[in-house]
Amino acid sequence: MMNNPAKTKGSWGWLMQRVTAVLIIVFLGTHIYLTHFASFDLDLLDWTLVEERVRALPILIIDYGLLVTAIFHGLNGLRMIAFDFVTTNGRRKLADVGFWVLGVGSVIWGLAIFAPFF
Amino acid sequence: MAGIGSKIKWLFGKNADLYPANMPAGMWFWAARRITGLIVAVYIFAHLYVLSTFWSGQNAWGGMMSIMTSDAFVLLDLLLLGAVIVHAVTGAAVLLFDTGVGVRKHKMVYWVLAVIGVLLFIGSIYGAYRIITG
Repeated sequence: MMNNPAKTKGSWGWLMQRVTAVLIIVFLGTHIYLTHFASFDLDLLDWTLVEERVRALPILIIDYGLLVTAIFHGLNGLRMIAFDFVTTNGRRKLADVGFWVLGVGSVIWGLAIFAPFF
Repeated sequence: MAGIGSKIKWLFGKNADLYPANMPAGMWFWAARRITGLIVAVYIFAHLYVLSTFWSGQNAWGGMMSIMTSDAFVLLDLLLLGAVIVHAVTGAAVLLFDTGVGVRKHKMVYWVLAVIGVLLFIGSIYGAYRIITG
């Protein structure tokens, strides 16, 4: 049933874009508040305060959650824009490989960023 | 292929869908979401690059942060936050319509979300002001 849109991969991208959107509203809201607006007296970007936050498990989970959802949402969005211009099946498949490599690579890069604190 | 001038006229001329006065409210939301989405998607990688300074140790991080907390970069961050707010608010409209909320009241949903966006940005201006004035 290749003609059934619900059974092609496009609808997964559509659904996940919405799921990650909701998650990002929560994760990004918390992230921006904790990193920039929680206090104007302390220097929230000071190394020791960053270390304190990264070592708090709930904050680490939020930041890593934001990493995965934001990279997925961002690249899936770029994919959607790209597919307005790249319309042949072969080129789309090639673009998908590129987006997956970039996405997985970026997530690994992001996961490794906090390494100095552990 | 026709000249680039006529192509632009075809895309944005008075009779084109993309001519601002011809764009319905939903299309403004769509265009705003695309442009801000591109900006924010590129920013993710700039953000990862800056945070990678952690690998160079405490002193390098301090140096990087003294640049990133300079007035110019705080103002850029404020603009970025503005782009994020526009993207979030216009995306919220999509989520609402997809779940059947306000399907018959598009314009009202747009106005309510626009007001929420403006309020969030006013809060962001206050935050940026407090950060700049220390």
